[in-house]
Amino acid sequence: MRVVFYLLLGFILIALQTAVISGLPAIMTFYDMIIPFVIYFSLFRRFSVGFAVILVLGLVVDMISGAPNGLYLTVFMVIFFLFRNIANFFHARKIVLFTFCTGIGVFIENLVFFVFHIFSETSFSTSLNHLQMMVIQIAWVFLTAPILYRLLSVYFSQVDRLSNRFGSSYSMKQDNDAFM
Amino acid sequence: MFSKKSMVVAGALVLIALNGLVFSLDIIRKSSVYEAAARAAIFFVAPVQETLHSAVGFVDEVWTHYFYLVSVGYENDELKTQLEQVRQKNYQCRELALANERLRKLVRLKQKSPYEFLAAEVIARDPSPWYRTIVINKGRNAGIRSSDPVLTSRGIVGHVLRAAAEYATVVLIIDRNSAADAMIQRSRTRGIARGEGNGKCQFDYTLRKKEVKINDIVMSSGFDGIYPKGFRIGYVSKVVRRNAGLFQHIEITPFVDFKTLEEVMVLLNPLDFEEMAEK
Repeated sequence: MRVVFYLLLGFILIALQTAVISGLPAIMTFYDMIIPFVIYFSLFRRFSVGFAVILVLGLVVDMISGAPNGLYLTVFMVIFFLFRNIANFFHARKIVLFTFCTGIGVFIENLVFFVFHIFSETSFSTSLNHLQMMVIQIAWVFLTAPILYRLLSVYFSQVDRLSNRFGSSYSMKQDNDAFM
Repeated sequence: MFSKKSMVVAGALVLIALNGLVFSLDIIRKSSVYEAAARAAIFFVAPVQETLHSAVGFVDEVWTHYFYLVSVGYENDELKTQLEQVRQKNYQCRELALANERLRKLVRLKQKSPYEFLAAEVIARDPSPWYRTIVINKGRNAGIRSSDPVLTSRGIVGHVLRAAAEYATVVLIIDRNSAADAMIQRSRTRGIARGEGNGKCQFDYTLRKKEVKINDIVMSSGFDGIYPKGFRIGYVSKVVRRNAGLFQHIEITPFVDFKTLEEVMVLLNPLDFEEMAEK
């Protein structure tokens, strides 16, 4: 049940990214909204659930994007595995860790695309434009990631509470059935 | 014969009538006693009257400027709401007028062209700014297939990358994975219009000896098997002829404004376009 809610939020973020944010002017070049989502799973959620959700979302984004197949999935998985155990090495408040990791995640995503572009014989001036875009995106991360962290925390805690309640009532019903 | 009460009432009436009669006599009205009595009456009554008048005025003031204003306030709120609704309708009308204008251009394109077109609406864009694709609200069920050209009245938009049942992904001509066989309209110089990913295209493989001028119009040549011949791509915005090298560097600015793209036309059955053109 939790996975359904996680995927639902993921799809909402993809829709937001493709239908709203991508239509904003160039100065508003926003970072990939799935990255903070991936980071949250990587840092604060169980591996198996996070892996399943990121796998599905990666495939979906690959399917709707013009990027080569598997590129987004690779990027999301790399970010997911990279930050998996980072909390063991860096002791900081969750919100700071989240913001910092999201910044690095966005950087990694752009770096992968950048390298891919370089290998695809794109002119260097074009790549410089993309570098400028990357800087804007990272600036946006530091402005908005703390807010996103709060929103994601609220959402995930609500989902946990809901599924715990459902799970406990379900188990109680099973117990009652067993006694009857 | 008469009761005591009746006698009192009759006496009072007689006295009042007598009183009126006496005071109505001109001699008495002009006498100083009457004047003095009248002034005295005014002296005592007028302040009370004034006070009462002020009180009534105050109440009237409160009523008209406070209680009445409450209802005016409600009315004002209602009018503001109505004004907002009218403004909203006005925006919608303006939006409809703009959409109408765009659709008229598409219809004109459809009427002028011998090809079969299908109008579609842009509903989403690529999640990454590194790639330039759009999603349109028509798919295989409407007859769209992969590689179908997508156009507007201004020129070529791109081609269909993938077609689902109800939606299709279109890769724009400015995407770096996109290319079209093209030629300069004025000189018929051929080359490949390739997307740069930054909103512009390059016109590749044009020999240095070929004359290309700024503002020359670049159009599709029809040799790539995707885009029919004669559809505009953009205009030449930059020409660089280096001392070395076989080719010149030409930049094309597309006619289509991809940032504000809302409706497009998909050219159906493009493989038959030569046959269609002959018809």
